[in-house]
Formats: sequence, structure tokens, C-alpha cells
Amino acid sequence: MTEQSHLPIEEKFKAAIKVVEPRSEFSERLWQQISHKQADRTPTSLVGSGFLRTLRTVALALLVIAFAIMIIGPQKVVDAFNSLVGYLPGAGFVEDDPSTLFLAEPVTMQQEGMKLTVEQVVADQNNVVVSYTLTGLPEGSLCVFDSNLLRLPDGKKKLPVGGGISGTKAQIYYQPLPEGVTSLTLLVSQQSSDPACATLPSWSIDLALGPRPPGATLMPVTQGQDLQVSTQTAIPVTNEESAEVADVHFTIDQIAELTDAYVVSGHVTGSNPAWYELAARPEYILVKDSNGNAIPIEQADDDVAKSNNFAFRFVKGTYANPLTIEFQSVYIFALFDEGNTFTFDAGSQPQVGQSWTVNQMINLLGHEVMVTSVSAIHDDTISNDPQLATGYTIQTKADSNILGLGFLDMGLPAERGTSGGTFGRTADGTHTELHYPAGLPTGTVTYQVSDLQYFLNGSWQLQLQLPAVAQ
Amino acid sequence: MFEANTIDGEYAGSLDDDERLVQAAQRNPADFKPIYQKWLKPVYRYFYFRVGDEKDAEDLTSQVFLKAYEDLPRYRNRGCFSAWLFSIARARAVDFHRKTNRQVPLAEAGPLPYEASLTDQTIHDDDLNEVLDLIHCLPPDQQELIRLRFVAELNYREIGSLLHRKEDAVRKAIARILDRIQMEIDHD
Repeated sequence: MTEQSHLPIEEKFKAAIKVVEPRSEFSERLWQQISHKQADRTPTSLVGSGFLRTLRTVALALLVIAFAIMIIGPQKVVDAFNSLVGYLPGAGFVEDDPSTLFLAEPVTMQQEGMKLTVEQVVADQNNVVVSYTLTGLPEGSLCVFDSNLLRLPDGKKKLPVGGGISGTKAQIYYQPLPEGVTSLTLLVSQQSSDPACATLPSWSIDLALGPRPPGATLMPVTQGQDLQVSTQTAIPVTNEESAEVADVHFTIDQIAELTDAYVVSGHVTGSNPAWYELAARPEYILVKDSNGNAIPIEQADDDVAKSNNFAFRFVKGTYANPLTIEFQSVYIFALFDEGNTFTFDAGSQPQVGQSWTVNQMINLLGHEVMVTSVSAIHDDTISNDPQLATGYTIQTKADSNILGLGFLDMGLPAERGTSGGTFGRTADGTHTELHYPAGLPTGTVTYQVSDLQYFLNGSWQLQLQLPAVAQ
Repeated sequence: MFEANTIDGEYAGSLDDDERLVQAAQRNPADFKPIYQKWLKPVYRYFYFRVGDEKDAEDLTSQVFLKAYEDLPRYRNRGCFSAWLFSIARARAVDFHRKTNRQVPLAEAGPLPYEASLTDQTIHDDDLNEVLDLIHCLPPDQQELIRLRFVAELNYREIGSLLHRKEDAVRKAIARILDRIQMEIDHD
């Protein structure tokens, strides 16, 4: 998420603050102090550990997947008539517009036996997507070049907003370029602590963008009115969830027709005003043709940049139209302006280790959660001073679809605030920690639920008419 | 997957970035340096604008990094390393003020220690003083939001995690403060 300045005062303030710098003698002295402490520590070796073996297995699997993707044959040349969007293999859905900029041809750089090839860069009004391959890493290397920045001509750098790295291939999304920018520098490096990785070089590759070159063929995309999709049906798992399930809306946005596969992309939204973010769960997407034959799909989230978008692909075949696409679960992050509250009496001198039984049922968007207890804790990773870094842990009992809860202390003066803390699942519910840098509040403490993260299960179905296969 | 965090278009790190750095430092203490390099200025500036004294800011900054270094192996992934780091910083600031009974509003910090030409210093001091005068009237909680956002350069999500407030609420609160300051400037 980009946080752009929008007022002159922000620019002025940021510029003014930056003149405050720690003295170089101080920063060097402090680092020396820390370095002395390092002598007491022994690095944790991963060599031979199960963790490393797992990493190796995953890396090998990703490599195999990458090769499988690379052996897709030459793409059929199809003009994207009647469409403002095309699909460029290796770059995903891009705007087919004169203002969209492309890399004229792959750019390759070699260093120390490794080769990085930027296969494509597409900059349209929605994103910049950079696709590259990096080969020739030392045999058995687990190093991942996971720092990928784009440097603009004015020196500013853009961080990724989506995409990722799989084996030797990377497909990474950035915010759109400022108007008029036609040159970039891709900065690729890795930050691993593994000594074998630390010696590997970083990459700085200049890229010039221009009109779409003849070799960059856009595959046809069907979207908008040309896309034949039925109205969604939504079937709840339980009656209690029926209204909530009806508030979730899956939309199919585009279908790209490749030589041997289709790529389907879409998004999910919710009409409940408390829902701040929704995301499809790719492992819970099922596709069948009208004869009931299941169609295996592969996740293709590299082709979409936003968190509420999804994409999957499946090979072409003899499928009976229409296809049924069923979504069985959705992740929801809800924020509450006026959430449920509960109280407990901490007494006049709450002590770390003390617990209070609450056993109060609260209803959150139809989901019942039992607040069972509150305990006073001290987090000595923040401060050893027992007066500081103390807090309360709120325990709940909740079904397994509830992932976590956030709470606000309603009685806290605005200038104090809570800080830090964790939240997450326990065996039978959730726990939420709130730390109080200024000491534990006393007396009656009132908490309000501020947010809820959960999975909503249901059966959301859409019928999709596959477009005629282009000849 | 990545999450962007740009401040004024410049790279300021990301949550994923932090977790990666932390994991590396937990495996090998020597890898604490990137964390130190990344967060030294924000932490120092945060203290400088809280305590208003270079020496105190250095002492408090040292305490935070030594504490963070010592406890990093026990740090659990809270999803927001900066919130943990600034929890330590805020705890130190509270302790400092408790012991000294001294709280310096953001607007009273200064003079500024930095390495710059005299011309640059004059320009920056003028800019800073103008802004600080405007902020002087803000209530303490709003000053803290400004400190965390612009002095410590935390993003809205990090501030929300630190203060246990909704990211969107933090964003709106800061926008309202800035709007008000901007209006005052425009009216002058």
C-alpha cells in the first residue's frame, strides 16, 4: 500500500525532520557496543537441520514448476480485437493501449557465472510488472534474491506491491510509473545471512521502455459485456451464516485464452460495511464442466496484483459449457466502529500472573465468541522493568474459523495508549495481548472489539461460458 | 508476497522486509547490522523530539538497541517488528520522563545537531521552526501521532499496531491533523 503525500505541509515537515541526524561518532560507538555483545552469541546453524532439508525440497519443487512453465510452447498470434486488455505471457493482464510501455527486448546481465534476464517489463495505468529469470546460482544454493526495487530516473525507489519469486522466475508488481518516465533501473539483491549467499553479487540493470515491440504478442482476453457469466448463487453452510454469505460477491473479470490453457481472473468483494478486506482462498476453488467433470486448476496469482484479486489457469480440453466455478471459503478482515464490549474488575493493584474469569459471550457479525478470561502478563522482551511492558492477555473460546480478535481499551486516556502485543489462535479460541507502557490500568477495565479476522465458509457458484477457441 | 511502504516516494522498508531482517539476525547475530542501520535514525529522531536533548536521545537510543539486540532471539513474530522496537522505545521514554519528570513537546526540541552547511542549516531551521510552531498547540496524543509518522517514519499500519488503533483510524487522524495545520498556514 502506497502512502503518498498530499499536502505541502507534509513535504515541508518531512524535509525539516530529516536534518536531525545522530552523530556519526555516536552511531559508530553504539555499534561497537553491540558488536562486543555479539562475541557472546553463537550463530544458529541451519546446516543439516530439518528446516534446511525442507527448504531444499521446496526449492527443488519450485525449480521444477519454473521449468514446467518455461516449456510452454510458442504462443499463437491473435490480435486482441474488441478488447482493451490483452494477456502477455510472463506479464499477465495488461492494458492494450498506446500509453502502455514495454521492454523492446529481453535484457541480460551476467556476473560470476550467473545470468539475470529481464524477460519483460510492462508499465500501464494500473501497474508496472517486471518478469525476469535468474539462473546459474551455485549448485545447491538456497539463496533467494528477494529484494527487488525499481529505481526511477529521479533516484526514488519503488517497492513491490505484489507478485513474487518462484524458483528461477520472478514476476513482480509495482505501482504505476509517473507520467513521462520511460527508463528504470531494476535493483535485485538478496539479504540472507547464509555466508554462501552473502558473497553473491547484487544486480543493477537499466531498462528502457517504449511502444509494444512486434514480438510481444498479446493473447486475446474476453471481458466486460463479452464475458458470459451467470448471476452468483450463494449457499450458506449453516442457516446462521446465510445473510453473511449473501453479502459476499465473487466476480469473474477476465478470461485469457492462451495456446493451451485458459487463465481466469476475478475479485471478491463484500457488501457488509464492517468488512475491510476479503480474499479468495485458491485452495477452495473448484471448477467443473456442465457434465460434472472436475477440471484441475492451478493457482495463477502471479497474474494479479491486488489482495482481493484471484487468478487460476487450466489446460484447454473438451469441456461442456458452461463451467461451474465454486468458491468454498473466503478470508475476511472486519473492522468495527462500535464493537461489542466487555468489562472486568482489575482491582486496585493488579499483579502479573493474576487472572480474572470473564465468561461473557459476545456476538461478532453473527459469530459467537466467549471471552473466557483476562490475565496480567509481563513481556520482558520489551523491558525488564516490571513496572513497564506489562499488559493483559484476553483469552476467548471461538470456533476454528475465527483467526484473531483485536481489542481497544475504552478507558485509556488518549495520550497513553497500549502498545505491542500479539494475537492469534489458541487450541480452542484466540488470545490477544495488550501492553501498557505506563503500567496496568486498575479498577473496571472495559474493552471493545476493534477487529475480527475469520474464514467464512459457503458455496458461491458462478456459471461461466468459455469463449470460443480462436483458430 | 510484498507490501509496499513508501514515504515521500523514498524507500523506507516494508513489513516483510523487517521480518526477513529479523529472521536473519535471529539466525546469526552479526546480521543485526542491517536492522541497526535501518532503524537507528528513526529511533534517535523519535527520542530527540521527545526529550529535546542530544545526549539524552543518544542514551535512550543506546538502551533501545542494546535491549532489542539482547532480546531478539526471543522476539516472536508479531507481524510488525517496528511496533515491537518502538514499544521498547516508548517504554524507555515513559521511564525517562518518570525519572526526570520532564516532557518536551515536539515543538520545543532543538537546536538541531547535524552535519550540514550553514546555508542548509538556516533553511532547514526556518522550515522546522515554522512547522514546530504550528504543532506546538496540538494535544499530546496528536503530537505522538506526528512523531511516529514523520519523525519515526512509521507507516499507518505500524502505528496502528503500536498504538492498537485501526490503521484506517490512524490514517484519518493524521490526515485531519495535517489538514488543520495546512489550513492555518494557508490562512496566514
